[in-house]
Amino acid sequence: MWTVLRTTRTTATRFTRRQNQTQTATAVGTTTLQPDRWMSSAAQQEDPRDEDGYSDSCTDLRHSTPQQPVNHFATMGLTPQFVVDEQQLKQSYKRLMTSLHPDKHTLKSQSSQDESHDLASRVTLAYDVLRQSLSRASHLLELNGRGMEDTASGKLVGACFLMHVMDLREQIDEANDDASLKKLWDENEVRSQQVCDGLAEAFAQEDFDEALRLTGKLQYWNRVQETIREKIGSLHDA
Amino acid sequence: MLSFATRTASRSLAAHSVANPLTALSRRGYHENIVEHYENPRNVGSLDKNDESVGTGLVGAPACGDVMKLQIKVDENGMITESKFKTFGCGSAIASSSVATEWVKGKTVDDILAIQNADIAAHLKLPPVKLHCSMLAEDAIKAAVADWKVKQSSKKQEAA
Repeated sequence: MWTVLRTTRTTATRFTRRQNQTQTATAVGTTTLQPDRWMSSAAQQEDPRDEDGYSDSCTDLRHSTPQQPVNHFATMGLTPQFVVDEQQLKQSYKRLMTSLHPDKHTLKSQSSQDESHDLASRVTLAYDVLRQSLSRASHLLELNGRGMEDTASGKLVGACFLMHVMDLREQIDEANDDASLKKLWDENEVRSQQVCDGLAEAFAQEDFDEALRLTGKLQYWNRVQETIREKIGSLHDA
Repeated sequence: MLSFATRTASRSLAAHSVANPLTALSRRGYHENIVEHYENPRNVGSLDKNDESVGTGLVGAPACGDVMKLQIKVDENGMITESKFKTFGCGSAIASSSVATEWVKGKTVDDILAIQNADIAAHLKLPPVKLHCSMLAEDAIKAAVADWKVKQSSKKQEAA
């Protein structure tokens, strides 16, 4: 039990430390991240902690609790904002993954290898979250303490909007050919883009109420898109 | 994260349902009550939303993007004579709304306001990750009653 607890603490500490470092790097405008350096500094801090108990990690934990969300922007060395340069994101991902590749770490200690493995999975997760507008918006809201509640029903987006969604879902249900589904798809793309434009503005102005409402809307449009995709798939399977 | 789980579950549920829904669902550990309502949903359809004796409740889950419509037809004694639903969502959401339409029939408007999501969840043995589906059904009932009440008060105003 104690072992488990200690491991968790250590992981939490690593998270905080590395996040801080990344944020500093971003702040001074350093675009080139050096995961090797993070790891070695984290590894240096690892040994004394193992010897002298928890005092160090406890202090760090106090700063990271309660359940501060992992900052995926910091992981990728990006400024937390809704508008993301896809090319830059992709390049960051590739660069980080190249430097974290297991083949580059075969001669290092087991703990260092574990560390790079751990970091690689965090980079992968961050990339997945940030490359899609819906999850990126949700994450930004979460970072600002405004996560989407699972229990919110219709109040967030309003009855008119829900009526529209209901109507569209019925149309998709009734559509039986590629042409009409394609039309519904294109119309939905336009709506999604409009919401994304609104999100960029809302986040830029730090209007989180509006951002939350628009993220809710984007979720519905994403679901509409998925439904159209499923429907097209089922038409072709039949 | 939860929303992702929900979507994945609903998607795989839908995918499996084509081949052999019952086995797929049972294998996933869903209670037979859910399977039964998912397989044979009661009262699917629509009532005339412009009819003044009809209350329409429209709710959605922003976390997963699913929508649910529940309608009630109320007689002059405040008794629900008919109820219909249309849900675009996962199996648990469909089962929850199906149960809700069954439960409201024959009850008064005030009675159905007492229906709790916990009752629906308990009846269907919904797993914790699906509890929000039963909340949607409860909200839909309340929204339908609210809509009906608005219609009644505007009717009274017109008469006055």
